[in-house]
Amino acid sequence: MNALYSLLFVFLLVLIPLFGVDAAHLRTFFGICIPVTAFIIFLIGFIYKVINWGRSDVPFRIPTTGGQFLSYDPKMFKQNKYDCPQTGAQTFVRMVLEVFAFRSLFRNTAASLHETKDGHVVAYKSSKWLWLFAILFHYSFFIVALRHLRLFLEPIPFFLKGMEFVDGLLQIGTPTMYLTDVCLIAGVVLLLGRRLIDPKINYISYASDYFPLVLILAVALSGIYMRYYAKVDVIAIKDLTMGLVTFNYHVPETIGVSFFIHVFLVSILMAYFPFSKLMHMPGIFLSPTRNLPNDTRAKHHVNPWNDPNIKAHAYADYEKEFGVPMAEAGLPLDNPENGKAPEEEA
Amino acid sequence: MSDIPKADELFTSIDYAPPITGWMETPVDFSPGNWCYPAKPEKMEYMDSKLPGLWGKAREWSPGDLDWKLPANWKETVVNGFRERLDKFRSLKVFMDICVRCGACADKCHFFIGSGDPKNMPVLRAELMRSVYRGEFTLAGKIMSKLTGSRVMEEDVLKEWFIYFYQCTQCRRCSLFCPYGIDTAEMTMMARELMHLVGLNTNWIMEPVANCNITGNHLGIQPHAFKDIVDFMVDDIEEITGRRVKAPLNEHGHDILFITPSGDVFADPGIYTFMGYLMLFDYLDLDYTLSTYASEGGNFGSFTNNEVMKKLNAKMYHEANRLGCKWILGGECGHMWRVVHQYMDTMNGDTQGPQMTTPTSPITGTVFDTSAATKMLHITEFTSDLIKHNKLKLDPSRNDHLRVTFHDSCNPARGMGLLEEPRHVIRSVCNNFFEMPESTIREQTFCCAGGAGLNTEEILEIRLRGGLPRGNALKYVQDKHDVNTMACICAIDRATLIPLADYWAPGVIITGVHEMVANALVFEEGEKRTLDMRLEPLPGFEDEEDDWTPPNKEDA
Amino acid sequence: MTFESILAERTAELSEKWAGLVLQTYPRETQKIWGRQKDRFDNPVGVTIIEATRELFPSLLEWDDAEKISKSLDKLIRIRAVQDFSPSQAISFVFLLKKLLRDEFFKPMKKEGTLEDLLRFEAKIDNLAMMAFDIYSKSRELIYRMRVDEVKRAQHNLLKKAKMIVDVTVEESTD
Repeated sequence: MNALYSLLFVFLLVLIPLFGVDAAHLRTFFGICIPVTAFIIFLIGFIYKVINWGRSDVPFRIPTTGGQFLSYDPKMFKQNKYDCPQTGAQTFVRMVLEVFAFRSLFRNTAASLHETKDGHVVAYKSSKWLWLFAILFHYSFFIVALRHLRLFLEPIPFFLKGMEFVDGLLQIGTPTMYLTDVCLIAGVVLLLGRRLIDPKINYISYASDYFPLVLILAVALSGIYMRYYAKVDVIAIKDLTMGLVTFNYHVPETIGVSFFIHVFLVSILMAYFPFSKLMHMPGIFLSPTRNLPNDTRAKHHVNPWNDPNIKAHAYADYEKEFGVPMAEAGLPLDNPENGKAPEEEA
Repeated sequence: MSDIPKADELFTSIDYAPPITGWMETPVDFSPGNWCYPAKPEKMEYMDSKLPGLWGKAREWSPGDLDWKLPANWKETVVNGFRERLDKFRSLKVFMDICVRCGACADKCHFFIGSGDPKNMPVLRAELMRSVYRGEFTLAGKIMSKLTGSRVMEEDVLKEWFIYFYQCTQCRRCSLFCPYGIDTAEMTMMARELMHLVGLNTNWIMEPVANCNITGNHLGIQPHAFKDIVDFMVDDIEEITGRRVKAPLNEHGHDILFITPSGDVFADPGIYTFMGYLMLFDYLDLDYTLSTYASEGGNFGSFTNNEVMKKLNAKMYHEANRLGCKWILGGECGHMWRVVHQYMDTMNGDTQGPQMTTPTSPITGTVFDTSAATKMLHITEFTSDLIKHNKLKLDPSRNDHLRVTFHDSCNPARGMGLLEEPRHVIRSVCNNFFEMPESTIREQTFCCAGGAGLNTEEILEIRLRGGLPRGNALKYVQDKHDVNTMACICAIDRATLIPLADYWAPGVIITGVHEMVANALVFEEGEKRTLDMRLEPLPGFEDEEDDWTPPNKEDA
Repeated sequence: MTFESILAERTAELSEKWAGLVLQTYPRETQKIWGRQKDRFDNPVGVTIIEATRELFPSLLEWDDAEKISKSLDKLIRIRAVQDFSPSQAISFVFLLKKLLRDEFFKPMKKEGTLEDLLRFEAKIDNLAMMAFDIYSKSRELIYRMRVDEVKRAQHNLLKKAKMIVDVTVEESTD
């Protein structure tokens, strides 16, 4: 049901520029106003959110440790440096592995049934499908986004050209099909399929989980459509996009409607981004269970709101309360007065 | 347990197929057995006098009743408290925003595996809170509540929190597998803090908290009685070894203060581990003292809120300063070590006296730089170092009747990284050691299902369900390697793993690591022992005993 | 061909169907997240269900090893005794076999006039239910005993000490 809502909603979103551009001739509105506004929302929302997270305190160092810590004898007990980092540098590597290789997902296990000679055994076996789908999706998305830089830069930097060459290595079709386009679609479909088919994931999914996937799928499909089928006027589009970055706005007449649909969907994605779970992208960098070294026994960490007024129940009070039986039991007292029974005092 | 239904109800219940409801619509079962007893009002009044404003109004109430006697302004209190904590804990704020519900955590929780209850999936447990976050604090959640999985704070929501955040043992297994490190333990802590604000609490946590504050131990045992109990154990050691060990209490002028969970002093089988400590220290002629005032290493405050955690923890440095100790040696305990390792120095490091120094073994001279800030050392680090330097004469064959496996306690494993030291000690003191399957040990260890204040008998069924994954792994090595002993380094484990083993892998006993050290420790050349720490005959000496079988061995 | 041999031929199929019925005694949400047809037994609870039914079915046909049967029953009941079931629900899975057999065989056997065989076999299932009841009660007794033991263990040294206090007062009262 949630998936259906999302699909329907994205479908409606496609209709807006279709009618807006074709019927209402709002070319400037859809070509410039919407994307610029969306980009501003994205930028401000994104930065605001990250600053807002950053303004919250980190009272304690709470890394989740995933291996042996730095021992008193690191030769005898080898430290697992990148799952249980002790220093800033090790923590940096842990973060790099987490961000670029999805290390925690790589650990994933799934319970599965195994027949052995003594009957059935449930074992928690490594399960890397989610990792694979996630890597496929995120890297394709990243490269596709990077490729779009060619529309905003003049001259086009060499690394972009190199990347495009590798991406189009298979030389299928004209214009050459990019591998990442295929991978991106495959990644989205696999993640979406998993969400629909795995009953556990299905049960926990909201419309807000399907929507970004469907939206990204629509973005990708519209992009592929305009590149390979509609064969839009790329020169004119570059004209427009360069205008956007040089604040010299104009919308060439030769751009087809498929471009506007693509741009509109991207705009929605950008505007939606800061208010959604897509913020996991910057969020991972601020996750206290991953980005802190496991060194609080060796180094002092400051809690900005540590309350010095919270003190231990004082020993002096303890001795006052239990002094008499303590003295009888022969336990040493700091203040011998406390050991006298009340009747003696009287 | 639910009530016994009538016969016709049973038949409908078999074919009963209600429509599948979304988790927000699925009602919660409040029948007894699903919750821990609330705290006694007098305990809460006491706590309120010590740390005012954190506990709501003390009162008699029961989760089984419809009316939980919440204060009139409870909603405001919870929502404001929530807002305040979003600013105080970045962990909470980030974890509220970034979950993508990928489901990697779903089948990692022992409670979920044992019960199949969807709300025991870590992602849904956290959603209980996140849904409220979105509904109360985010624009998207306020506008499109259903589509974004948002809701506002209501009494039913709070009640649901009470059930499910007391079905989380803060073991952090989910956090290990989460691609963003989202830690349900952290959210459970926050939810419990919020619930305390409006007087929702459990007695099994609050009574020990109050007791620890007053008397220093979780049972509220007064100092003289504490001394008697320690003396008992000295007597027992004498019976076993012929040696009268010293057990200094509250003495000034020693280098080391030793603190262990008080469960080790009172509870079987922790007491045998405690006897092990006493014997080890006597063997080394260690310059140390115990304290009756700071006799609880475990920090029950960490199951309630950060204020109490700090207050109870502060006793350790307070006592080290008073007695003039240079550093603190800590016994085998799980959550105690989470607190010591990740919180203690941050909370109370500035109260360390100038006499305190980086822990240095007086026997081997090893300087433990990794604990330079807290000045507190784990006993297995200490012992492992002794063994490495050949300072202990050990006879592992005394443990030949034990076929041992090791249960990594959640907190030392995922909140510290102490994995190899206890194994080193175990391998040195016994000849038969077998690991459980890889995906159930070390950082992937399965919880005993009694951590974080759930180790109470009124929810034993919940605990046994949650113990199923650990039980299965144990059964596996029992069948495969004839394992009959599970060692652990946690006082809560020593209590909860016993019913767990009795139920899922009958015949396996639970032991502390230093109980095995004590068995193997050779006091002097040619020392003969016929009894182990439990006063049972050692291998080869069975005949010398009469035919009396200890009661806990009858079934084995 | 005896009824038992008909059943024996279909052992795998019928025990799987039985396991499916047992799974249906769990809440719908739980069934849903435990998965679809293929992987619904891929968890410790599911595996015990399928293992127990696979073992019990042939044992019922052979009907000569009470120990083996109770071992298989115990495996499953031990889990159900600590899950959210009433006692009757916990052991209802035995009667689900009866339901399964009636669904599968009642009509054709009535037609053939061999219904007696079915009824005769059902007596075994009734016996199985009795055994299940015993085992369930034993499990629950164990749990309650563990409750008491746990409290005793937690205060082991206090109990020891409490006895000592009694000794002391006796001595004191004599002088």
